[in-house]
Amino acid sequence: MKVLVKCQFYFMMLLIAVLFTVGVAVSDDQTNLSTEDVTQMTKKPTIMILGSWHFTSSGLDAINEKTDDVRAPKRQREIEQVVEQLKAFKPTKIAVEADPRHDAKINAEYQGYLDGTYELGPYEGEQIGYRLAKEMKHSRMYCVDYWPEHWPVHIDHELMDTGTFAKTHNQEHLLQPPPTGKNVTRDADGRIWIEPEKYEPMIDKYIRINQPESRRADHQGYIRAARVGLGTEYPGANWVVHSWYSRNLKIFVNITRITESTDDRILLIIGAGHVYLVQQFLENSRDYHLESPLKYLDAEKIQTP
Amino acid sequence: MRSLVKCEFYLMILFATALFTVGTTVSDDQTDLSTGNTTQMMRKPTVMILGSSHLANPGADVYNTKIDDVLAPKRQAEIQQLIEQLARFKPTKIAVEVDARSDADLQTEYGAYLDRNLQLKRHEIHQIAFRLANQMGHPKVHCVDYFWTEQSPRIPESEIDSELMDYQQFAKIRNQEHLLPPIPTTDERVTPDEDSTTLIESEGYESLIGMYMRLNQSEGRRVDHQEYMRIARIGIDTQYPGAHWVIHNWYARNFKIFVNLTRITESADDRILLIIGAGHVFLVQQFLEDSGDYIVESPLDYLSAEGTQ
Repeated sequence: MKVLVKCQFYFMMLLIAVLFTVGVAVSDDQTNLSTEDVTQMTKKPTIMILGSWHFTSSGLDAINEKTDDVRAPKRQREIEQVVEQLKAFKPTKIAVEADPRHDAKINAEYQGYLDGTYELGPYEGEQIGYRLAKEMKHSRMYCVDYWPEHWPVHIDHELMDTGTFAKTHNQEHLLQPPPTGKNVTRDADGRIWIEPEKYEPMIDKYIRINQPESRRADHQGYIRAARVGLGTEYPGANWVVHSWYSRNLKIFVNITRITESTDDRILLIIGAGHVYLVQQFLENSRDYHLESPLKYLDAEKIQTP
Repeated sequence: MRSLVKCEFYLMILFATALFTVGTTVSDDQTDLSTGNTTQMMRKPTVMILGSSHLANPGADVYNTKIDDVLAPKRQAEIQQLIEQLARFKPTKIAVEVDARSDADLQTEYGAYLDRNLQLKRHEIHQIAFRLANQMGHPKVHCVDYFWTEQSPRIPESEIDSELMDYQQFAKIRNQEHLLPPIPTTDERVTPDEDSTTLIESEGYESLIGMYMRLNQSEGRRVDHQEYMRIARIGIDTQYPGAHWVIHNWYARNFKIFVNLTRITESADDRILLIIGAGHVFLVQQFLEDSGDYIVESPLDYLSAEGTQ
């Protein structure tokens, strides 16, 4: 029975692999008619991805950047300025980095914020997301991350243990070197903390981390890590595809699920590391217009008091 | 135990996620030095991907473009011409759609061909890869495909829940068939045979070079890939059969083809010609470009229908 399922599974792959190749190759005209027309002639919904850092240093990550309190008055003014500039995008929906299972909780908070009974927490989704959504008179927030309670596709940890494999097989050059410098410290648990060298206004930081070159370099780090492996072993590729690409493809799918019309203008606020891949999926789908937040963020327009 | 492993797994994702994000964000200068400069200042190896159809009409697939006998003299002359044009790319290595684990078998075949002990079959690996490799004086032909077997590392078998990825069934039951790729059934050139495989006749005579030029148009490749992005959307609520299938099968296989290409790359002087089913071109090329480590050339710069009949 098991073998049968497997056979079917391989067979299905084979079928599909060729289905597209030949299908499209032969019926170029029809295909172009049905998809090209749609892509070129109909209006498409618009999406803008604001790559962010996490406003609170949770200390959960291997590398954490120390941040000061975004609820301090000076930071609050800076956030209001960022929100003011993002308003020009005229978003119809704002999506944040939370799994859809948290939708009720997030929207209860947001409703509380609208009613004046909820005080914004120190998170980018709330500080920028809720604030901007309120300004735009949105009735709700949207959750598009993929982080389910139970992961349906479970992948053997050993098949993806890129770090250990790289160490034991002399492939550490394929991994990002840990940051160094006098502003970098390591705590008792081995976690790395980075102290910013100088004060950086929010808007400057957003402009810096949303540069396409910076996003590209991030993604190149993943592609390089994917090469960790040898012979019949592919721990790097397994990890990069089965966990990182997988999560980001589902973020793309979740965005398509909240898209209701071609008039939609969705603003996604998400960790900067996701920007390159989510944007690539959106572009490859050819179903969206993409705008860059750099078009709206302008440090010089900000009046420093 | 199981939940422990799971926790480690999530933690690893979390670690790594932040590793890149913060790493690059904070230490932009160092990162540019180690990756940016390397990519810009060093010479890079070159890859050219020739998207192909299967010349031998294996009929192994659901849809097969029917090609007349490529061993016929006229077709053989066209193949010779195609090889002359591809030779101008000056490939240092030729890679084909054969599982990397079958490398030894393929070398035995190629060796027999070099010793004039092998009658070339109809498929593109023999007709194009072997002949071109021989003409370029290559000692071997490289296998870079990745297929699963009982032994290969992959999602553990117990976890292959076909329902989890059976997007076709899901689309049928949940009224999402509009997300499935269109099927050319109304065309009179399309004839399903009794094994329910389908042969599609070409309209009129098309030279092999003409066919390759058509198959390798970037617009056609983009449209192909677009179909996968649409399939990925099949699902509702917590169910993502389309996305699971697209990532865990299609992306995973093509990603490993990319990794296998990096493994056969030995120097910046390498010029690798990959001959592969046209459906793979978009994704393998995208991985190569995203890596920043390769120059990618198009076969359209080398193919010319002029002088062909």
